Amino acid sequence: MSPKNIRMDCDRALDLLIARGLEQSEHDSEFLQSHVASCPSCTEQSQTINRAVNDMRSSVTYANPAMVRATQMRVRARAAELRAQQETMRPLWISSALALGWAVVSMPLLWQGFSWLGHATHMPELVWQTGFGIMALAPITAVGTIGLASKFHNKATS
Amino acid sequence: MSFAALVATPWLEREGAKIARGLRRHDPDTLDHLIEVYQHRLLRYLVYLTGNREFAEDLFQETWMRVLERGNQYNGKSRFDTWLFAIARHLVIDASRKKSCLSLEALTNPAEESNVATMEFASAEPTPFEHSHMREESERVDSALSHLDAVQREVVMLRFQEEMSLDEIAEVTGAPLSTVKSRLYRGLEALRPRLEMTGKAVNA
Repeated sequence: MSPKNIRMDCDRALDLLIARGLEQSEHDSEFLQSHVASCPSCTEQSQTINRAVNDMRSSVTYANPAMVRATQMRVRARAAELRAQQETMRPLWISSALALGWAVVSMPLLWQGFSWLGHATHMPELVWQTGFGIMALAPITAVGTIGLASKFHNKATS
Repeated sequence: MSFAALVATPWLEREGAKIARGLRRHDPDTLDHLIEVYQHRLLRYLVYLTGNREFAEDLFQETWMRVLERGNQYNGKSRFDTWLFAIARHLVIDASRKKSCLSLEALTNPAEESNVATMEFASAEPTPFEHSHMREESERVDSALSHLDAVQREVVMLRFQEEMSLDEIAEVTGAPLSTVKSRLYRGLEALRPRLEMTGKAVNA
């Protein structure tokens, strides 16, 4: 086998070695086994990985129970705050949805109303159309402003 | 796909979806359960990443607070631990930047890392002999790992201790797969003489 081929085999073996424990095809496993058995460098690499894995697994770090409890309490308290915020936001979301629904339904009627008024009073088109625009956007603008103000208020108080 | 993977994948997806629902509702029981389940793994990751137990404990709390605040960003389709570790990693980087003298690289300073060896053990079960042996083993591994760059130590730990796949490690670290691989190769290369040396010292 040429040195280039040996190098390629070693690279493939190393790829398989670092993926140990993950899913490998039977073909890959067989290749790895036979290559490691015949290549001193990869044998050494394999031993290093085995040693590192065994050593790391025997090394234990335990979290301090008091610290874990303190974290749980802190998280619980903050979760309660966030849920309370969600509760206060709910009526706003409902009213926003209702306002949007009403806007969709009433928009054609409103348009017709403004159009009739414009023609009846001989108003320039731009005027009654601007009036329609202001009227149509007023509820959504108001809800949006309240929503943003409440968000900033919540941020400031939290 | 193996039979185990066939069985495990839907279970993981269901579990992920359940966690995602709990996080969206800010459900305290879900959060309590997650903290219980991932406490040791998260702390171990933070300790290895920062090289400082006290700093890691502060970040442990902050990580869970962020999990709570950003819970709606977890979609339940990926593994929860990769998402959790990615959050923890970002916090380490942010906190290191704030502590202007520290950076991920600076945290590899061996003097800083002498704290890593001071680890706590569960009070239950092990005999004094086992306890002492475990502590020695732990210190030996930590000492070997502490000589690696933080980024190399991180991938070695995620691959061999957390048993994450290379793709999952790439997800946690935000690095391309090729970078993850090269960090792993270099990490193992750097680890080899250390483990051999400490192994000989222990066996002598």
